[in-house]
Amino acid sequence: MSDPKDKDTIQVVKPPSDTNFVLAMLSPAFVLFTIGIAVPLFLAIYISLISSTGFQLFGPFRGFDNFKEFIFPKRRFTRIFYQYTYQTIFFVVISVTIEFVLGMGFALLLNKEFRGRGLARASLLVPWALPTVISATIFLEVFAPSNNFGVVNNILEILGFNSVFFYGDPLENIGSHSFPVYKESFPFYTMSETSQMRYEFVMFTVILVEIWKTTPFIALLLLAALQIVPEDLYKAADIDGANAWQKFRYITWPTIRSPALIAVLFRTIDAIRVFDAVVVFGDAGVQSITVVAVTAWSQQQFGVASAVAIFELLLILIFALLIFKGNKFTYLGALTIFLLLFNRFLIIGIISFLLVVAYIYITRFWEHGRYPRIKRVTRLDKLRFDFLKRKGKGDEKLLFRPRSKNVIILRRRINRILVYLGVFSLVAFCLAPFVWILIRSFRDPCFRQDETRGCPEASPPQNDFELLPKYPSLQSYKIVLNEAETDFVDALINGFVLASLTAILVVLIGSLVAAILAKYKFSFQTSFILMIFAMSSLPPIIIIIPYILQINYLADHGINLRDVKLIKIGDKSYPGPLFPLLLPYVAFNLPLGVFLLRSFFTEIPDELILAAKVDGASNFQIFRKILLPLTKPGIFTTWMMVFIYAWNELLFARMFLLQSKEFWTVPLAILQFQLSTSGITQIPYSPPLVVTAASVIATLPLIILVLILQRNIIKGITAGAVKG
Amino acid sequence: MVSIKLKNANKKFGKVECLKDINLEIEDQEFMVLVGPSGCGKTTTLNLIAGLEYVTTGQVFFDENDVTELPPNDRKVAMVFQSYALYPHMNVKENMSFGLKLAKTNKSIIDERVNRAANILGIEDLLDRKPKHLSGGQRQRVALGRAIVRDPTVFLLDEPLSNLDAKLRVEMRAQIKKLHRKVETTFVYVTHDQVEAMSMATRITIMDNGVIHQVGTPEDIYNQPANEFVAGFIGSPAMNFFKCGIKSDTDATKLQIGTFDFEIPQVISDKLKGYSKIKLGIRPEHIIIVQKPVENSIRVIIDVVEFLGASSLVTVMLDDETQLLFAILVDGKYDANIGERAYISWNSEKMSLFNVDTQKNILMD
Repeated sequence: MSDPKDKDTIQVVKPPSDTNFVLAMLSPAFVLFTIGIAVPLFLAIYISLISSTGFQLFGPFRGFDNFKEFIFPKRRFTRIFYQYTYQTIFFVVISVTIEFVLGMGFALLLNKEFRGRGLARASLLVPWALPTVISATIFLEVFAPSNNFGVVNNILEILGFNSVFFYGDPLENIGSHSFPVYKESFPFYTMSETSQMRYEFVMFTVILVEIWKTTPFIALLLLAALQIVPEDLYKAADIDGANAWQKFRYITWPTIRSPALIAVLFRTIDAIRVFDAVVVFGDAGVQSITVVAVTAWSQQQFGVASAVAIFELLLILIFALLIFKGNKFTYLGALTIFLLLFNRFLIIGIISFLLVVAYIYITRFWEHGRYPRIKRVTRLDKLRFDFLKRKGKGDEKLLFRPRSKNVIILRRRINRILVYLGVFSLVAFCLAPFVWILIRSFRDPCFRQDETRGCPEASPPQNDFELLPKYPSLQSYKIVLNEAETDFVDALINGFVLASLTAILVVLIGSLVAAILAKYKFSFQTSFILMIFAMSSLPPIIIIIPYILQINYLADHGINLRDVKLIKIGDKSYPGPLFPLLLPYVAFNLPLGVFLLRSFFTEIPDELILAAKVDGASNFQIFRKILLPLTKPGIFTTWMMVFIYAWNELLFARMFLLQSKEFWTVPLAILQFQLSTSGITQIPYSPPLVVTAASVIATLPLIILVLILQRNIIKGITAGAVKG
Repeated sequence: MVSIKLKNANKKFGKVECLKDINLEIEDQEFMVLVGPSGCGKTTTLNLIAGLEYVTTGQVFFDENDVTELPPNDRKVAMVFQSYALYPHMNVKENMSFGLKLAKTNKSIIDERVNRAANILGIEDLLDRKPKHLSGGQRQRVALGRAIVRDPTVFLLDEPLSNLDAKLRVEMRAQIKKLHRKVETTFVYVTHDQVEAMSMATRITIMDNGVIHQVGTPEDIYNQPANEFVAGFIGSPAMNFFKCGIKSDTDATKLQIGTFDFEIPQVISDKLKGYSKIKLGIRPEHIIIVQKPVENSIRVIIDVVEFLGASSLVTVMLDDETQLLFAILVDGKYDANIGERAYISWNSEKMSLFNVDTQKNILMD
């Protein structure tokens, strides 16, 4: 190549900058973030400071009166606020702890090599794919009192135990147990023998439902994290003579610590926001902070509702800080504050706090005495308990540690059996509840002949516990699909429209963002990722209140977002009232979509992009012609994951759609069916059986889809964790 | 410290038979190199010795002790991995003393041993660093140090040098060799690189497809390969192989290479009785190339000349219709024009003759 002869005639072409392209690709997400999250968040803060009692967006400034409404004693929401906050924290701590331990066990088990591992991994996805309403329904059925043929109680009875009321204690049992009850003066809780509330095992039942539903997910995240640990490290530890626990303690845990903490954080955030699970049980023994907000909302106290939501956000932040920045001292401090506030064991709380203070004081003094010159800050998390350990045995003098061959072989065999037992119980844990309602759904629900209400024939009502249905029929399914009582077909269509629209939007916007995050570098990358994930950690209730007020405000001023008509299915125009739901749905699912898609995009080799650049493709052409086609399986997986989330969502759907019955989604329809039939007597069939059929219809397609796609889903989550 | 014996060891992974009836004896304080192409079962053999995997059938002995079912720690072996397998969250000292810590050894003993090992390897100043702040060669040394600290019965090294660059590899080769002399322990070393094997081993085991082909000193294996596979695997550039017929006259036996004849002495021809066809193998460095015909030489055409520095690799073609190719290694630079005629010959003691069907070396029996 020779030099250009005349420099003036040559135009100096700068290499095209990626900045504009990056900004263009990210802008939809920015807009979404602004409209869907930022504006409502600021509005929520604003609303919490004004007197907003009607459906209006503006009102007179009230200062912190809204907060006082539930924090100060003897106010309108004080009692339920303290009660439910206590329950929420209890619920969060217990359920997340158990989920984490159990999930870790599952993950370690599924990380082993054994026959049928793919199937076992796939079964993890089943509880997760079910809407919480339905999983709670399943457990309502499973834990029903023995006279209502609950399977657990019947097994208990067969084993010779007394029947246990896992939820909704009958009236005669009221007040016979002591438990913390709210008092009107500080400290707000005290042990009481005379309570007017129904209380027995419902807290544990709700926790169990939550555990069943979300342990698989945490197990998946941890399984993904376990893939980071190099196989060779375990071999090296084997050589070094580490046993299973030591391998976990010294090798696995330090490596997976931060992804594991992130998994715990996700779960904690989710657990604090719990709504679906507690609503289904409808029992004062278990409620959550979200319910306080919803209650205030239903009493038209929007300011208070927003204030409660902001408190919920603060609680999430506190938990997040504790998880990531906590040490033994902060944990103890948090525990002490919790105990002081809720006074269950006030004395223990104070004593433990004093002990901690005394200990720090003494150790500091002691350290000073020993190392007078070195200023040392005693950190409680660095305390050593070496003196508790056994003394070293010194050097092994034997060349080989003699061991009986038979013992070693036996031990190995027992280990293998234990692994298979573990896997079996894992699969049973995940599948059994679903299998149980599948079996129940084939029981003939009609006990009285009533042609008009879908019971052309009747069979004797159930008297005894039936493992397999005595009178099998498809009648439940017929009732679900044909009866106006349920509106179930409508709900299926609504859910499908809503979920697929959400999923399409998430995939569209998410793939733009994910491609940029995976393949381009830009200056504000970290803050952008943080922003995306902050979106998913907000409690939905904080967004929902200003959002609904906004929608109403717009409707009052001539823009009715609930009346957008695009498609006509049957005699209804979609999306209609479903339309305003799209924005929060997309906003809340975008992080998941980005997370999954990014892991698929990162797998595409950079060389392909460079090659396309050499071939003269523009940035957008690279995205359209190279990146998108290569991630088809990833896109489909993401579409499906988001579809499942949107299909299962209850809180938003309930608050937006409760009034417009013809647009109910599936979980809402099932919930309302349960609530509406529980009091009515003239129905000729048994509602719980019909609900099982509805649950099967609503979830079987999801489960089949998930099982087909399990490899992609697990790969997506795994790859994401390894690279993120 | 120990001699190792594998007796009729078989290993199956599911239905795949990975090792077939392995019998191998490794003597005390020996540097045994297991070499073979990838997937030949050499790493599995090493894992069997380590106790990371267990035989499907067969036995493993350390000295007289049957350790077949013992886990690695009870065998007191040390192992260096290809990826080094340093614990990323521990510093060098913690990495090296982890095994001792688990065995609840006294702190003073741990310190003493770590310092000794660090001293041997020259990594005293690295003890407080984390693995990610070390270079490849330093990591390699720490991995070796971790092995030394254990004071093991046997050092097992699984391709320890393959992640290093070429120059460092040569350096570490010498270091490991020196270490072997210093610690006076049995070493078992796995590699796919035959140069490493030849330069380090006191004895070499050559494996392929889960079968041992030959065990012997580097010289033995180089000069008297047991079969065609060994002959082709060891040596770079690789040995030349030709199928040839055998022509027996009254006074002499001749090999037919292409259309040329190559006379062979009585000692060799005695062993060829009963064969009509054999495979001839001759190493490139054992062939002499000359301009003028000499006794018992073959006419060739020069095809390619590659200058390698200390030597040249000359590829020649038989000057007949078969056009068989020979690779020849010539000292220094070889000056010749492409297409020129030349003559090649070799000392008949240097060649190997293989059975066409069984591929065994005929001359070794």
